Amino acid sequence: MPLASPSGPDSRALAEPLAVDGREELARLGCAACHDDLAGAGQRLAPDLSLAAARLRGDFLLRYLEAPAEAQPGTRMPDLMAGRSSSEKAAVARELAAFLASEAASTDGSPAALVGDPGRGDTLYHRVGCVMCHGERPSAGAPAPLPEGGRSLDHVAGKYTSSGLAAFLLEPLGHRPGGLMPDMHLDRQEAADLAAFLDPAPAGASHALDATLVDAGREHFRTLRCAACHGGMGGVQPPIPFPAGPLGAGCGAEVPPAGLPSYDLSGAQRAALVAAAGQLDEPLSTEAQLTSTMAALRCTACHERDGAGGVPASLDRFLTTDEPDLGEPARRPPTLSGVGGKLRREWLERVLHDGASVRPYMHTRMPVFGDANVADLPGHLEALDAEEPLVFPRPEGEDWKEAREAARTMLGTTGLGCVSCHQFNTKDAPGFQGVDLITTPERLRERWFRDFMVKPTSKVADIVMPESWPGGEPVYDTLLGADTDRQLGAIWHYLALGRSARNPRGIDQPRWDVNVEGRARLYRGRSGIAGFRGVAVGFQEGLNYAFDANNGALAGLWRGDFVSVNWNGQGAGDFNPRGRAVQLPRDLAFAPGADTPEPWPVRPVKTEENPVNPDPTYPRQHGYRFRGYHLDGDGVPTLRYSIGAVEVEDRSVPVREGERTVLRRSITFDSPEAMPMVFRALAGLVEVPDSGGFVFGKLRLTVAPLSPLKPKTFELRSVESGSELLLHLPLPAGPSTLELTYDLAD
Amino acid sequence: MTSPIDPRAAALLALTSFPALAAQPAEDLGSKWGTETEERKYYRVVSLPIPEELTVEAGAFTTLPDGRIAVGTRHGDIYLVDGVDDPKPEPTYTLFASGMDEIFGLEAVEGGLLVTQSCELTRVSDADGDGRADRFDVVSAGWGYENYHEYAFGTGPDKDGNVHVALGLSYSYHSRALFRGWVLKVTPEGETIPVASGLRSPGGIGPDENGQIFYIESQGPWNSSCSLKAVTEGSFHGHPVSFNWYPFAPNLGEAPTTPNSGTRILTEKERVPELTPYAVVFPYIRMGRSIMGFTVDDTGGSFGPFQDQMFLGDFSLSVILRATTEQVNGVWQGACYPFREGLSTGLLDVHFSPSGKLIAGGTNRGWPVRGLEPFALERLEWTGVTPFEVERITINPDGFDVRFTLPLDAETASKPENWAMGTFTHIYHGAYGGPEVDRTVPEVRSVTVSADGLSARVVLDTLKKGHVHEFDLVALRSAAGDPLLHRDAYYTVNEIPAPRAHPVPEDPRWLTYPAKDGGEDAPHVVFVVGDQEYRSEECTPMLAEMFAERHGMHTTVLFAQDEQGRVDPTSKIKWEDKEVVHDIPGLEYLEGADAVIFYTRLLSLPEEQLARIYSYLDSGKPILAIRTANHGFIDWDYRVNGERVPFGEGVLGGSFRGHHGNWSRDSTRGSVVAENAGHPVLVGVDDVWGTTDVYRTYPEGGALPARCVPLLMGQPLVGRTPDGPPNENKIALPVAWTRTFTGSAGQESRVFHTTMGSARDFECEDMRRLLLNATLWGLGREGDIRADLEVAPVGPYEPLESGFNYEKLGVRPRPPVDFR
Repeated sequence: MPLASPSGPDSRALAEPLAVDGREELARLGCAACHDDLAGAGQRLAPDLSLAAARLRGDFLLRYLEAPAEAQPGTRMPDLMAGRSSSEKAAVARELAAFLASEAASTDGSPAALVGDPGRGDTLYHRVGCVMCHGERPSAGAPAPLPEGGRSLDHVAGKYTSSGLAAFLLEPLGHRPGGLMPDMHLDRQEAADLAAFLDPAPAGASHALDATLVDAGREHFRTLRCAACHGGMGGVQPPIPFPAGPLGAGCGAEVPPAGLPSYDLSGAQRAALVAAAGQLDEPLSTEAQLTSTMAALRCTACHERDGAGGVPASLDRFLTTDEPDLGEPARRPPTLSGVGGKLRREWLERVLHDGASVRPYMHTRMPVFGDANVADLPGHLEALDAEEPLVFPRPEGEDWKEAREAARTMLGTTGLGCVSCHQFNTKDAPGFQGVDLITTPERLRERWFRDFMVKPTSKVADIVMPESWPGGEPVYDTLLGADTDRQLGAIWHYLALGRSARNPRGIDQPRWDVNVEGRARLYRGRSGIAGFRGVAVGFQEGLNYAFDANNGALAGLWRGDFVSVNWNGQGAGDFNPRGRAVQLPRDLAFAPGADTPEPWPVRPVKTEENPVNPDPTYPRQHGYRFRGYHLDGDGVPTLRYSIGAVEVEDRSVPVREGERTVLRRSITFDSPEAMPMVFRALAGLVEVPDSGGFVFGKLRLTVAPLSPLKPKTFELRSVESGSELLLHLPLPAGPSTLELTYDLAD
Repeated sequence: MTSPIDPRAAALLALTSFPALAAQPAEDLGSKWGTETEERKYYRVVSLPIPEELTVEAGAFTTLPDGRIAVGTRHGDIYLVDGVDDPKPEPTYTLFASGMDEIFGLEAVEGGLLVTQSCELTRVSDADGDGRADRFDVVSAGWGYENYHEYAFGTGPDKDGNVHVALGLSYSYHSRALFRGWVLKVTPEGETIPVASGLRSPGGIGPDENGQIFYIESQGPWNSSCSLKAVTEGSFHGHPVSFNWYPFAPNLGEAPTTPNSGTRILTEKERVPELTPYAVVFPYIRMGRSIMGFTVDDTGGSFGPFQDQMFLGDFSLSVILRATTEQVNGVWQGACYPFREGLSTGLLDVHFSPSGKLIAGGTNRGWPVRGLEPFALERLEWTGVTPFEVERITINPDGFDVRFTLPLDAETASKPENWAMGTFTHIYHGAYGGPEVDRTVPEVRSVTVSADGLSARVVLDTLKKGHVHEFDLVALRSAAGDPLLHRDAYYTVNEIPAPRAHPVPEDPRWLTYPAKDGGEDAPHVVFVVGDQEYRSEECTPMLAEMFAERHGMHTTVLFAQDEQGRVDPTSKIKWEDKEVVHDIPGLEYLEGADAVIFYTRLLSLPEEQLARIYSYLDSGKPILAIRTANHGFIDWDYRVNGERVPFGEGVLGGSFRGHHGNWSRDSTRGSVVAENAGHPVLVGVDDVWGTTDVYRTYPEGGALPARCVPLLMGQPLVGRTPDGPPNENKIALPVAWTRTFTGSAGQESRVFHTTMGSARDFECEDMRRLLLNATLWGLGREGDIRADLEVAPVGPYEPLESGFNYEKLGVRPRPPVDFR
C-alpha cells in the first residue's frame, strides 16, 4: 500500500536529510509491528518476554510497566498507560507481571550461575570494549560522562537479578534479538564477574502467581497490543494502517489520546518518521543503508570508517594489547575504510556471524550482533569498497619450486624477517606475536594484499611494518628476478599452502614433553627403546621404564624426566626417553617348559633388503599375548599378559633401598599346574660381579631377598652377542610372585 | 549454462596426491565451492570452545549413555565433553583416559568404551568408579604394527557384536607387517578374522543406514580418487600389495589374481572376481582430497532433509560432504554431493550429538589443510530452513531418478538441455592418483518431473558402466525460483539395473509386449480377450503395444481361441450351442499380474480357468473392463462369503440390460460428469466419441449403484458421425465409472468400467487416454497421469467394423500372431 507523502515542497525538502535517521527510527521503535504498511523500514526485534520474569527483579518489572522511561531512561518501550491514574497503572502492571510470570520459560535457559568476582568484572568491563558504549565506570569518585550516543547502565543494578544479569550477558541475543546489545564472547565466568561488577546485590524476590491476576494480565497483554512486538505469547491483533499526513492524532501525536502508547517523540523525530514513511518505496542507497546499520549497531563507536567514528580520545586509554610494541594496530580496532576491498566476503561473514578473530593479543573484542542484524553488511561493504580484482598467477613446475624457496627465504629471519613479528602456522615468532601469516590468503583479497605490502601505511595508518617493496621496488633483489609481483605472488601462494608450508627460518617446532605430576604416568606409542607397541611408565621419583608390549619384555630404564613426544607435523606421538636409557633385549622374555629353547626365539629383524617382517606371527606362535593393564589409585600400571596357559601380572614401582631409589619389579604368575618357566632376564654383555646380582651396563639386576618365588637356577649361557641370563623358575600351581630389583646407576 | 565438462575441474586438478597418508610435497589446496555465504543460511557452524591448556585433536567420537560426547584424540587421550548441545556452548572437558596411541575408533559399549588405537583394539573402563579409566583390556592386537603410517580405524560392534578394523598399508605402497591393507573382524569372543584385502590407506569405517560396512579409501596407488568402498567377506579393494598375507587367512583361500595395472577397474573385475569397485567416487579436489570420517544421519529430521544419508568430513579442504548408497545387481554404488565448506580445521571425524547436530573435529597438523585452527571442535546445526538441494540420486535401467529437497520448477526441469551431464572414469593403476579419463557426454533424452515436483526421472541415451556420472544442475530452479545451493552431484555407475523382464514367456498362443524403458518396477498388465462382435482382438493388441512402448508397462494379451489355437471372433456361445466350451490359454499368468483388463463376451470357460479369474478378483489388484465384459462370462460362480457375485452387477457395478441407443445405427458422445471432472482418470479426457451405442446398465428410473463414481455420460447421437445431433428421445446414461470392490480375501480393488470400447471406438484419442488413465489410476499411479501423455497407436491402426456379419466384414479365425 503506497503511503502518502507529506505534501508541498517544504516538507519534501525537510524530508531529504532526515530520511536516513527516520528510517532507522522507524525500525528502532518497531513501528512496523503495528503498522504493517511500514514493513519496508524493517524492525529491530523486541526482547523475548519469556525470559523477563526469570531474569528481572519483580519490583523493577512493576516500575517499568507503569512508566518505562522513568524506570529505564532511553528505553524503546512506549508508555502504554499514559493518562491513566497511578492506582490504575499499578493494578495493570501487577496483572501484566503476573501474566508474564505465568508465561515464563520453565528455566531462564542458562546454565547454573557461577559466583562472580566484581574486581575481575571491573577489569573485564574496562578491557573488552564495554566502555565504548557505556562509558567508564570508576569504582570511586564522580561518574564519567557517557560517550556520544552511549547508553547509561545506571538502571541495571535495579533491573536484573544478579544471576539474570549474568545469563543475559552470556547470551544477550537470546533475550534481546534486536542486536543493540551484542554478544561480547563472554564465557560463563566472565558473565558472572561482569554481572557482579554491574550489580553486586543479591537476587531479587520471586513472584507469587495469582490466577485471577494472570487472566487479567493476559487481557491487558492483548488489548495493549504487547504481542505486536513481543511474540510467542498469543494475543496478536490485526495491523493498523499508518496514517497519511503529519502525525497528529495517533500514537505519534504530541500527546497521544488515552489508550494509545506514548513514545514521547520530539518534533524532529515526528517529522523524520513521517518523511521516512513517505519514502519507503524509494530504496535507500547502499551507502545510506550501510551508514544506517553501522550507526544503529554502533560499529563506529570502535571503528573509524572514511574519517567518521572511531574511539574518542577520552576512551583511548581503554584500548590495550598484549603486544604493545606492535604499535597502534595491535590495540586499536582496525579501520573499516575500504574493508570490503580488504577482506574476502567469506571472511567478513565469519567475523560478523561467527565471531572469527585473528588478533588474540588485542583486548577489545569484536562482538557478534546476530545473523539477521548484520545480514546485509558484507554485501554492502563488498559493493561499496570493491577494487579491481587481482589474481597472482600461479607458478608451475620448476618455477614453483623456485618461488616456494624464495618465499620461504623472504619470510624467514634471514630474509625480510616477516616471522620476527608474525606467528606462522600457530607457532610463536621469535619476537612479537603478530597476526599469523598463514591466515593471509584465507582472509585478504589479493589486490589489497599487494598494495598493502608495497606501502603498508597506505592501508593501515600507524602500522609498524617496514616497507620491503618501497615504491614498488623490491629490497630483496636477488630473488625471482627482483620482480615485485613475482615475489609477492610467491609469498601469497606459499602462505596458501597452509599447514604444509615449511617453517621459515626463525620459527621453531615446539617441543612436546609429557611430564609426571604426582600420579604415575603411562604413555603408549612407538619408540626406539620399546618398539611400536611400546609402553612408557614414568614416576614422580624420576625413575622410569619402558615395556615392549608386542613381545612382553622390559625394554629399558632411565632416570630423570619422563618422555618427549613427537606431535609435530605428521608425528604419530612416538616417544623418546628424556634421560639416558639402558636398553634391554626386546625379545620374548619367557619360555614355558623344562627345555630352554636353543637358540632363544629372538624377534624378527627387517633389513633394507628384506623390509617385510619375515616372521609375522612372532611372538604369538610362542604363546605370548598382551592382555592390557590396569591402574591403581596412584596411576601405577600392572601390565598383564599370558604365556601359554600362564597368566602374568607385571608391576614395577620405584622403592627406596638405603640411599638409592631402585625399581622393584613384581612378576606374578598364575599357572594352572606346577611347571617350569624360563625367564630370559638379560642378554648381551652381562657381567657377574662379586658383590652379587648381574650387571648389564649401568644396570644391576638382583632377585629381591624377600622374593616369594626363587629361581631354581641362574644360567648364564654364551651366545653370539655375549651371554644370556636365564632364570629357571619352578612355578607352582596357582599364583606365585618373583620380585626383582633393577638398580640403575646415576 | 556451463559445459558438461566443467572447466573448474581442470583448474582444480592438483599435481599429485592424497596428502593425509604419506609425506607429500607442499601443495596448493585448490578453489572453494564458493557456496559458504549461502550455506550459512541453512547450516550454521558453531565453535565448541576448547580450554586453552588442552590439545584436542579429535580422531573419533561416541555418545555416552548420559548424553555426553566422548572424544578420542590423536594424542591418545579420551575426553568426556559435556554441554555440546547448549545454545551458547561452553563445554566442559573431563579427561577420562590418556596415554593411548592415535585413537581412530571409539564406541560406548556396556560398561566402558571400545577404542581402536594404532596398536590394538582396547576396552577401556573405570572399574573403581572415580571417573577416570583404570582398566585397559586388549580385545585384539591381531595385526602387525611396524610403521607410523600404519593407522587403524575401527567400528563399533554390529548387531552380532562384531567389530571391523581397517588397517592402512606401510607407507602407500607396501605391506610389511601382518595384515596391513586388510579389514579384520573381531568377534565378541575376541577372535580376529581376516575379512578383506587390498586396502591402501583407509579413513573411517562404519555401517551405512542398512548396516552394510563401508570404508573410505584415500587417493593414491590403485586409487585415482578418494572413494567409499563396501566391505564384504572376501572382498579385494584394489591394492594387491597385501596379497602376501593370504597364507595367514586360510578362511579366505588363495589370493585373488593380481590385477593388471593401467586398465580400468571394471575391466579388471572381469579377471579378478573379488575386486570390489569403488561404490562412490569423490572426484578429486572437487569433492574433497582426504576424506577421513563419516556418520549416518539418524536424527529423524533434526538435521534437515537428509535422513539416512552419510555425512563425511574432509581433512584437507575442511569441508563436509554427503553420500548416498544403493545396491544394484549385488554391487554397491551411489552418489556424493557437496554439503558445507568453511570448517575451521582438518576434519578427522564427524558425529551426531544427542540433539541432532553434527559435531566435526580434527587437526590441521601434518598435511595441507584449509582450516586455520591447529585443532578444533565445531558443531553444524540446521537453521530449520530447507535448502534447495539434490536430495539423492538413484539409478534406473535407462538413467536416474533425482530427488530434490524442495519442489522443482517443472518447466526448467523438464528441459533436457538444462541437465548438463558428463561422465568419466579413472585409470586403474599402481601409480599415485590419476587423471579423469574416457570422458563422454551422454544425451539426456527426456526428463519427467513427478506430480509433486520433488523428483525427476532422467532418461539418457546410455549409461556408462564404471563411470562417474556428473550432474551440473546450475540451470534448474525450485518452484520458488531459486537455484540449487549446490549445483554438482556425482553418481558412480558400477552396475545398471536390468529392466524387469516380461514375466510371461513368448508363446504363439498369446501376445507379449515387453516394456520399453521400464524400470525394475515396470507393471505387468494383462488383457483377457474374447468377444464376437466388437473386434476386441484388434483393439487390445494395439492398446497393449501402446502401453508397453510408451508407458513402460509389460503387457500380455490372452485370447479365447479354438482348438487349432486360433483367435476365433466367430465362435458360438452357449446359448447357441450348449456344448461349447471356450478356452483362454495363459490365465495362470493372472497370478502376479499388476492389472487385468477384461474384454470378454458370454464365454463359457472351464472351471480351472474361471478359478484363475476368481483368484485374481480376490487379489486386491485393479479390475478394468471394457464394453461386453459386463456380461463376459456364462456359468460364472464366483462367491464372496458364500454368496454368488456376478461379474457385471457384482464386481463392475452394472451389466448390459439392453441397447439404450439404437444398436448399430446410433453413435455415442461421451461427456465428462462435471462434479467428477477432477478425477485422475479424466485428466486430458474431453473429446470422447464412438460408434457404439449406449448400454443401459440399470433399470429405467434407477441409477448407478451408490459406490460407483460416474465419469462419462453417453449421449446417443443420431447417425454415426461425431457431429451428429443428440437423439432427443434418449437421455444420457453413464458409460464410464469407477468403484471399489472387495473380494473374498478382504482385499480392496480399484475397478474401472466403460461400456464403450469397440475397436473403432478406440480410434478416438480420448478413448485410448481414458483407458490408459484408468490403468495408471488402477495401479495407484495417478501421480503419473498428465493431460499430455502420449496415446498414439504405435503402428497403423485400422480396425474392422463391429458386427456379426463376419463374412462381409472379413472376420475369420486367425492365429494370435496375426493381431500383433
